[in-house]
Amino acid sequence: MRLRAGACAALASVLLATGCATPASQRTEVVVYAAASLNSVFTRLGTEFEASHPGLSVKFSFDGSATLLDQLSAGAPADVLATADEPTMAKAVTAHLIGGAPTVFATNVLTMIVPAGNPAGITGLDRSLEGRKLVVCADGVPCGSATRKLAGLLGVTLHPVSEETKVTDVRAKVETGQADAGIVYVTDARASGDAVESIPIAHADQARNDYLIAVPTSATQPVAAAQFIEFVTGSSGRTALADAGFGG
Amino acid sequence: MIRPALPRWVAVPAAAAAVFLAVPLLAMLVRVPWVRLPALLATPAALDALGLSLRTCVLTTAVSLVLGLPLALVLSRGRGRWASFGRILATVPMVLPPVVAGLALLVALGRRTWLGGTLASAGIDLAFTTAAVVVAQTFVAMPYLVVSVEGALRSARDRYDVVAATLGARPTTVLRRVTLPLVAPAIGSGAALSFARALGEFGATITFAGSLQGTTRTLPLEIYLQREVDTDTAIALSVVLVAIAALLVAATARLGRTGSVPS
Amino acid sequence: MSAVTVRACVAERGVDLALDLPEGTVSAIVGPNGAGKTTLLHLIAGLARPSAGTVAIGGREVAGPTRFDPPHRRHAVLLTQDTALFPHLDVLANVAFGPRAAGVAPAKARARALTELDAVGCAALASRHPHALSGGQAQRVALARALATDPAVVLLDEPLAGLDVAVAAEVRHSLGQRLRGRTAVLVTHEVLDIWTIADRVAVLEAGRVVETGSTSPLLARPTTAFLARLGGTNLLTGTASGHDSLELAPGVRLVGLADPDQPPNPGEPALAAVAPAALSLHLAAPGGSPRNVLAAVVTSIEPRGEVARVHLETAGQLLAADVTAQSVAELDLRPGLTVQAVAKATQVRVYGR
Repeated sequence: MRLRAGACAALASVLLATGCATPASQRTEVVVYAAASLNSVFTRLGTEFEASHPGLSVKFSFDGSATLLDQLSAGAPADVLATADEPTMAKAVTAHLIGGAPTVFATNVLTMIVPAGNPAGITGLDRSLEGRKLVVCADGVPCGSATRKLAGLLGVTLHPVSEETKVTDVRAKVETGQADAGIVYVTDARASGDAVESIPIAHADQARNDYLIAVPTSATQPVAAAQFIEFVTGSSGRTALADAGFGG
Repeated sequence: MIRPALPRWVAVPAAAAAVFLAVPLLAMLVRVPWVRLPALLATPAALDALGLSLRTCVLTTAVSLVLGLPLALVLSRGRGRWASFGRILATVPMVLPPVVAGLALLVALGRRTWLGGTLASAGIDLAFTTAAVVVAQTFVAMPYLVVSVEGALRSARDRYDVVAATLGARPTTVLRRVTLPLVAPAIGSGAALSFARALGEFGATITFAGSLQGTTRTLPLEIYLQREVDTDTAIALSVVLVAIAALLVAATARLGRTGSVPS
Repeated sequence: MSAVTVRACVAERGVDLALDLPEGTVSAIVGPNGAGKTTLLHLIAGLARPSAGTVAIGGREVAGPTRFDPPHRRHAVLLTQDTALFPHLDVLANVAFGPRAAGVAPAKARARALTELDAVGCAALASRHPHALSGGQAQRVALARALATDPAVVLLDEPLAGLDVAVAAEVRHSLGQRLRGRTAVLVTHEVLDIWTIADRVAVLEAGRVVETGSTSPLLARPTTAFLARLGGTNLLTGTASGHDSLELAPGVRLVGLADPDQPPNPGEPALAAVAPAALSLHLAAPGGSPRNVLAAVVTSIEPRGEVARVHLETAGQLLAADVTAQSVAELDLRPGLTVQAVAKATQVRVYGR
């Protein structure tokens, strides 16, 4: 990233010397490290943010929350960190990687999905799952922890055939029909479109996942970063997040 | 005879290459929480992953030998377009990106496919089973055995087979007592490479077999999971994987040195 | 009865061979490179498939229009210049390989192998690996290995080529000893092999058998240029003009001694054999009364140590003369020069076809 910035600066000086128009690289760039589940909604918000904030541009790096934390502690040049769960952000705070207090900007709840047409005749977290192939997230990753918590609340014991590291892997296995059912975030169910059908899980909101956003202490553009967070938590952000299925 | 010396400047890029290859592995060794290592590796999840990996890799190597050796034999005798085609076919899984291998298996053997459905109606349901792990590993690992043995068979001249036949040995006897023993080092190194490749198999397994402790979650999948949960455990397991891989490579190199004359 | 009968074509190699190999005899196969000698061995061993015709071993058809027995069912064992001893087996296991493949029990096979090794003087090498053998030892072990299978026919493809002279002599001795009384086919370029090992000779040229017969008469009275060269003699052809002379060309006569076993018939085609060493070269016809003076043109001069072989052309036929290097200098021999080649009549053998 730093190398690239240097190259851009060099390029900019060349362009200035030849008398070109103001290049994009003269804009202030906000680097946002965001959880993978935010990919589509943040990409959309980034475009809107750049349109309404002349002189600012946004660059994203999407990955699993834990991976983002690893990269941040290894010195990645992030101006904004957005995690898909609270514990990861708490770790960042404990490690003094975060300056101010993180803000909850969205929530996500779990739902059950089945392949289109529901070939296995699943009706919910009930006996219809017996002998069927249920795929969930592994305990330890945010959606897996939420799944375990929800199952505990409902007093059911799940017998999954696979515990995936990424929620997108759960989605893929249901979409392809390898699995008869899966437990994913509402936002994932929405992103899968017609490939899956959703079966809401009762009391899902009691095991909701909080999405937190904060400015790392190492941020080189803290002011612009604050502006981006303001935008995400503002009305434009709330609309886009709600469209994607996130809760407020 | 003294060979003319290499130009001195070669040492510079050579050293750079050596450093480039060694640094990531050394960095991992430095980063290993050595004190906690036994505890990290003794967890049920880690032990299950290690045990599953070793079991499936042994099975994969066995399947690769049973099916891959005959394929290598047939290909090594093959002439013309079909043989070239077969050779390419046997090599492609080696160079497939892991996820592509997984997708290919999924669209071939997935539950919603004709072949997968046929197998399922015959009572063979591969989805999310240890057998699926072996299938995924074999798909990417067997080519290493086939290519290694086929190459050795093709470069071995057929004079020994011819002489053995004129001495009255039936084709099976020739194969058992002459052809295969002569390429034994290549079979050994091919099997070791297959084992190593199977051990590192990740993409096809996670796409095709799933990830469940003790059933389908092999060492690489456990590392992938622990990377999201606990980096120290991930690194500890990685070191185990690196150690096994290094042992296998060393064994292969040894087989290579022994040459074609085991004494 | 013939032990091996070949009446077979291999179209793609341009070979059409008709040959009977008598039981219990060693037949030498000679001929220029590419004449089809190795193809003949391959036809018998089952390593080449006839495009037409048949091959029979011991009266049993092993290859024909509707039949092709693979090598392992033919009892025809092949020995080549590169011995192809199995590098992963020790000498004893190599020799025991054939009996083991035939189903003989391990102990019995090993005993048989030791007997065969002993017969070629290699029993002491039993526990060695092939890479620890000299070329001559390897060839003798290969012979033992071949004979341990009790083959119906032993096929030898230039087994002594590639061995140095002293070693070849030893192996030649072993071969002569161990092949005596067996049916064997020996492809060779060496006249010494033929004299010491073979009972019969077959000459192959351009994929055909052009001559067969017992060794001594064939070499004594060569009928083909190849046989003559092999026997180290010049072969001249012409028409018998008397009982001890022939006319090479109109007016060019050669007088010699008629071969009592095959005297020439006047007026019919006849042959004359004269050794290169029996010819002397002169710039002008010498005085006295030598009966054979042939005008010849030098085509090339080939140094051979103390002598030089001078290749000549006379009356459209090739002739070689061995003269001392000193003579070459004194006569100032060079290609294109016309000389007079003189041979005593007692050194010329004249015979009919």
